[in-house]
Amino acid sequence: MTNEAGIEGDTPVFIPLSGSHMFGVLSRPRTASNRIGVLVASGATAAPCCGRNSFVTSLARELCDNGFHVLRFDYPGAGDSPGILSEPDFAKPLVEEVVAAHNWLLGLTEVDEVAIIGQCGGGFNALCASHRLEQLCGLAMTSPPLTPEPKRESIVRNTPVKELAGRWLQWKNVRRYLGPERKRYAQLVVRRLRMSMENRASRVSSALGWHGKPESSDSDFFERMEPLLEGETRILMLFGTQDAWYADFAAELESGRLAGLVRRHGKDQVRTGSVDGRLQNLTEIALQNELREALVSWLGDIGSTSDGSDTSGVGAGP
Amino acid sequence: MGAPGIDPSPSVGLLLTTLRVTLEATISAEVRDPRTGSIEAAGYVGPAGQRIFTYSHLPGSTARAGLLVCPALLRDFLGNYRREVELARALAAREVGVYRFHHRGTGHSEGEWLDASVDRLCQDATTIVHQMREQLADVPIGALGTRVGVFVAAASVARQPPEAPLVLWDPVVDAKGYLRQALRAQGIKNLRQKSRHAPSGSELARALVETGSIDLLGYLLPHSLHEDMIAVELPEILGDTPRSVLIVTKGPAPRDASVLGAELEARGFDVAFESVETGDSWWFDPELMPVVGTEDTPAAPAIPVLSPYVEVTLRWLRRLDGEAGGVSA
Repeated sequence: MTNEAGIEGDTPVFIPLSGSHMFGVLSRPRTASNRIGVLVASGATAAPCCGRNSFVTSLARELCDNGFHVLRFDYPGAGDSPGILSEPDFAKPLVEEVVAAHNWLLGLTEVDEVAIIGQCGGGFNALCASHRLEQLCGLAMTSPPLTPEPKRESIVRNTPVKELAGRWLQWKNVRRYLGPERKRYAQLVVRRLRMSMENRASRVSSALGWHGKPESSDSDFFERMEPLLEGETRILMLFGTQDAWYADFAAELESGRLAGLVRRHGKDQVRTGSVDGRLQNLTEIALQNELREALVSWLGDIGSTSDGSDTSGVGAGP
Repeated sequence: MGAPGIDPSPSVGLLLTTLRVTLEATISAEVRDPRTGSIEAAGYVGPAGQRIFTYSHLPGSTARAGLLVCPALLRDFLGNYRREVELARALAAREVGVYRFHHRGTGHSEGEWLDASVDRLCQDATTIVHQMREQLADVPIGALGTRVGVFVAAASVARQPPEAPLVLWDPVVDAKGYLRQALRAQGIKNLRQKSRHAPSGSELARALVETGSIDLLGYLLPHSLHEDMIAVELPEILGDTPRSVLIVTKGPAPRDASVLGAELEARGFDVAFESVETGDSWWFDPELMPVVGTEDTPAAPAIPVLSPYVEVTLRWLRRLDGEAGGVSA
């Protein structure tokens, strides 16, 4: 027995990890392999790696049809893996787990390089592990936590309605409301207004030290992306407009560090996108389909080493 | 072994990994737990395109009994998953062979979920019971079912001798009520998340009939399966052979579970009730119903080492074992 038996379809595997193991499923292509492995790192919940509505299982099979080897795995204490699931902690990403799974996949003789799809916390885990991963050709992060808490939402939640209204009526913002992205901006405004009103009685903006200028997201997250991009790894960041960190993402893409990364490395290497709704937890089948289509399209570009085009089905950004 | 990335050193404490490919298209990988001696094997069984994912937990010594874990469906599948794994590991350490599986079209299994029916779900369980018989010989094989999985568990255990027990975790006895709750949960989710696709509960119910399926909290509910569930009666499926039944409910037993218990007792079944207190809800847990805002976290809280469902079930099986020499815990 080896993993090189050439069996098509799904095969259960056990990935060694610190004297124990993690359970995983390897999907092998039924067509000719393109020699790229895809590792799916899910969010750190107790749920098995097949995902909601078998989303990851069906994604893996679709990628297999396009020649990819795909490995999905359960963190210790999740799904079928032994152990106890640790509390999600931004300060303690599950790096060893991602490295172990990545190395296992890269160890297959049919795989020369690996792309990672990280969902929610899985995206952050993969980003933190990236400096230890060889032959990483792509990293897709869907709704990753950019900071321990969504900063912009915290700010907005704690900002008096009057102040928010004043900002929104500034000319530069009014122009946005009338522009082609007006629907998204309108959704943001409504959402922020609601949150602010919910909290206006109990909170004040000074509690978070906000002085009229939005904070940037944690610099660590985007600094970690820099060496990957210099190594020519492609990055995809996708958010739903109702995700917890969407407002932070939108701010970064508009004028923050993410905007700088896109400018320096180009939209082909740093691709961003957003969909209406909530990508975290994937509680809508329509969103599952949109996400699957976007990921397959992005990986297809990597597989064909083309210069990439817009991610189909997904808006280019907020 | 030769698999890249696998450390064959005995210090790993695992006998990694065997892969078998037989004529029946069974593929599996095995690990041995050096602490308990039990062996876990994950694999697929069945013809290509319809392969069923199965995961067995076998004791290191000869199994004295067996238990088939029939999984919950739809949203409950993920929510209950880890409890089933915990129970299986605890029982394997106590000389009980446990098999878990994913129905076709769900989890890691192959097949099309839209074609699911109660008959097909029961066929899946039968396939796994055949596999259990090969491994466990003539020991009694009990069954555990959760939520709508109780239909499959009941059908499976009905073909077993009376020593084989049945465990029901929060059984869904009234399929119509189940759908009502589901539609209500979907409606509340739509309201709170301001979903783009936000039909009301009655519109969803109509769509289920007209389009043949609906999106229920990110899962597809086929109309045919729902109709099946409404048509079947749990006591009828369970047959006339009296056996021990444990009904575990979250909080005090709801009326339909009490009625089910009373009906079974009247037919000679030995029915026990246990209630557990947990903060979870089948429809409205934190993972399912995140609140938009800073308190919204991307991951569910860690699950305790043994959930109350597992504890009460192990206790009941231990008592049963002491009384009648059945399944040991």
